[in-house]
This record gives sequence, structure tokens and C-alpha cells, in this order.
Amino acid sequence: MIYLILAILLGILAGTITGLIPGIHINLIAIILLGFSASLLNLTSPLTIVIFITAMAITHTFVDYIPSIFLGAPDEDSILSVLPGHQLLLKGQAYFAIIFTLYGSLTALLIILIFTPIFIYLLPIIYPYVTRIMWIILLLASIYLVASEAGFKKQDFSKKYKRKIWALIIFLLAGFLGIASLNLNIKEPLLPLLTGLFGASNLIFSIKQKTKIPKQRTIPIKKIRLNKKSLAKASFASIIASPFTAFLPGLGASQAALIGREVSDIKDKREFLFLLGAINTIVMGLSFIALYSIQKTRTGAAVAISKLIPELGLTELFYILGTIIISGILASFITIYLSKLTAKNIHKIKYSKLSIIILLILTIITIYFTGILGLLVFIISAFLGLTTIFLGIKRMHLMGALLIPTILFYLL
Amino acid sequence: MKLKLNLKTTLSISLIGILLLLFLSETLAPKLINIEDINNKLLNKKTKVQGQIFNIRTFEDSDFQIISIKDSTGKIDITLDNPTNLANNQNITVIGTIKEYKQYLQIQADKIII
Repeated sequence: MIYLILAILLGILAGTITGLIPGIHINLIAIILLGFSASLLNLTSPLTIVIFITAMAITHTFVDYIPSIFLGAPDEDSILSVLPGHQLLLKGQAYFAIIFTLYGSLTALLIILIFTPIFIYLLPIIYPYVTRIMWIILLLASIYLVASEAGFKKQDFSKKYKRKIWALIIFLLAGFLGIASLNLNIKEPLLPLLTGLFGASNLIFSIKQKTKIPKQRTIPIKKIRLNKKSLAKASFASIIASPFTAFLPGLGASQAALIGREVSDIKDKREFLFLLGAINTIVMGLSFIALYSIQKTRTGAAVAISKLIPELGLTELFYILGTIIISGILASFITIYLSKLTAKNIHKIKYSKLSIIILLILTIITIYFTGILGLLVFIISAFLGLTTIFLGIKRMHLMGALLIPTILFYLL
Repeated sequence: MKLKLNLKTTLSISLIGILLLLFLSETLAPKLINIEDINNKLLNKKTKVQGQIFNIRTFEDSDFQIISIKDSTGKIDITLDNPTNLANNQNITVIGTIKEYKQYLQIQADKIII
């Protein structure tokens, strides 16, 4: 038992570190852990390592909005937080943005518990049918997301039409980029691909803009509220959108958030940030449940767990659920503390210098894990990300880098 | 020459870069290796093998298929997430990633060429 508690605490620490450092995704840490698994298994049991990975993964989903919002350096799951988060940052309200994502993540813990029996019972029944039409679901989701660029209202149609065309072009270019990257002989192609598209491009843009951050406000957390209607709306949206992403490959938290936003007609930044936080944590939590019920892995953390315990039983599942709840609650305190600390001090740091340092770290990590080919993917992905920023269209169209290869995989 | 970061530059570099990567992904395809050369050092690396199918197991509950192939040097299991219409004695080329399952090496197929 003491080892399990230690595993949770170390997992929370690791998740805090990975959450705070942009470009370091838990998938990467999970892969590294698997690489050392033979040595680790001499020291401890597979369950202990699984608990560590679970705690790390859940904590990451709480903490990763801090660099996303304060530094504009998100990962693939927190990418959509950049725009509303950045807007609030420039108004001195970044702390508020983090707290709304935190509310979402905490609500997600309850949603995970509610969905667990549904997933265990229903998913094995519906999954074979869903896989047959998966490519259609992904294709429709892609069409909807591209078409939703600039909205569906008839005003300023010609301007919106132009933006939709660009959205389609970017989506397709990202798709070709994804196909090429996944076919290259790179060990972890998603690292340079997603870090370049979302992380590096944003950092380069921040450096170019010489963004200056104003002093940030912090107020007691009980004063940061969402009214009941907003809470219900955002929770409903996350319940509708996120379960599919827990087992459908190629569909990430970002796309789920956009689908949820359209379904619930979410326009308020606070509701959207809540939705993002909720979806990010739900997707991670339910990916472990999906591993148990249909033996399919959707996240890097779930892949790692499937290697350590190939036949996950109900006992292990209970341990995982318990870890999700405990680490989520502890992670929320850590998130509040760290975001307050960052909010009080970020205006003192020269933002562009910090962005340069982070960009250098990401580049070194990319070269170390993926070599020269990976670096090439990283650079080209960054330029495509920058193109999207300059075009002023939603960056989630860059998810074509994953969606198109996945659709083709199911089609061909 | 200073690189001016604007839409034109980034779009041009992206287009050229993507074309270059597509070209490299075709020309730098993994080399064909003998099945006996597959070992733990190649774990998670992409590889290419050729062989004759001698056993096919389809798991209908999960749409999962395991195809066993052999060449003159050895045999290996190929895993597929979507069942195919392959048959015993067919000669196939498999491009995929070397994975480990319960201490056995197998190839998770990305592409099968008949």
C-alpha cells in the first residue's frame, strides 16, 4: 500500500512537471517509462507503475493549461485554450482562465465515475459497429470542423467563404504533413509533428510580436464563479463530445471541444475554458476505462498501461479509478497554487526571452528523441502552424495531421 | 539575408517542406529484412518483411486479426486492427512497426502488399 501511495505522489509530481513544461507530453514520458520498464519491474510491481502513470496523466490534464495560457505554449489537447486564454492573459485575467479550466477538470472526475459503468457495459456492444463506420464519423467531423470556420451565419458570406477555403487548404496540407511524418522512419513522429504545429509556431509568433504581459489579477477562488446555467451548458457539452474521443483515434480533445461548443452553442469564453478542462480530463480518464472494456488504447498513457498489464482486471480498474479521483483532487490544489504564483510573477519576466528558452528546449528534445528527420518535421510543422496564425483561422484545422491519416487507415 | 516572417514566406516554406517530406517518406522507406534479423533492438522501429502466410486468426469480437508469415529464415506474427481478405499460402510484403506482446516480437502492420 505504501508503494501505491508513493506512486500516486510521484505521479502527481511528474504530471506537474510534464504539465508545466510545454512540449513534454505524458505520451513521451510513458514511452520513456516503457523503455525502462524491464529495470523498473525489478524494483516494483506493474500495478505500482500503472498507478504512477495514471496519477501523472490526470495531473497533467489539470496543470497543462498553465503554460498554455500564460506562455501560449499548449500541447495538442490544450491548444484551443490559447486563444481565449491569451485574450484573458492580455487583460490581466489569466488566473481566471486557469480556474475555469480547473472547474471543468474537477467536474470531469465526477463524469468519469458516472460514465465508467456505461463504458464497461455499452462500449463492447457498440464498438464493433462504431469501428465499421469510424471513417465516416471522422470524415463528417472533419467536414463539420472545416465548415464551421467563421461560423454558419449568412452575413459577410464572401469573407467567410474565403476563410473556409483556407481552412480546407490548411486541413489538407496538415493531412499531407501527417501522412509524410507517420511514414518516415522516425521513432515518435507525433512529437515533432504536434510540438511544431502547436507549440513552436505559437512561441515563434510570441517572439515576433514581442508580446508584453500586463500585471495579472488574482482574487479568492470563491469569487471566480460560473452561474448554474453556464455550468450545466458546459457540462452537457463535455458529456456529449468527449466519450467518443476516449476510444476514437484521430479525434482529440480539441475537436471534441469544438463539437461540444457547437452542440451547446457556447459563446462565453469562461464556458469554453470550462469545457476544455472537462474534456481534456474526461478523455484521459475514459481512455483507461476503454482499455479495460474493449482493450483499445487511445492515449499514450493507456498504451503504456496495456504493455505493463496486458489483461487489465476489475481490481486494477478500481485502483486506477481511485488514483484518478485522488490525483485529480490533489492536482487541483497544485494548479491553484502554481497559477497564483505564476500570475503574481509573470509580468516581471521578459516574455519573448522566456519564449526563446522554451523554443530551444523543445528543439533539443525533438533532436534527442527523433533525430534530424524529426527536426525537419518539427521545422516544417512550425511553419505550417505559423501560416495558420497569419491566416487568422482556427488552429484546430491543423488536426488534419492526425485526422486524415486515420481516415485513410480505416478506408484503405 | 533576413527571413521575413509573413504569410507568403511561411506558406511557401510549408508547401516546399511538405513536398520534401512526402518525397523522403517514399524514398526512405524501411529496408527489407529477414525475419531472423528482427530482435529487441528494433523494437518500435518501422520495418519491412516478406513472407508466405501459413496461419490466419481472426477475432471477430474485436475486429482484430493475426497473420503468421514465414520466410526462409524464420516466422513472425503480423497484427492487424482491421481484418483483411488474405488467405494461406499467399506471399505478402508487410511494412509495419515491431512491437512486443508477452515477450514475443510481432509486427503491427501499417501496410500489406500482395
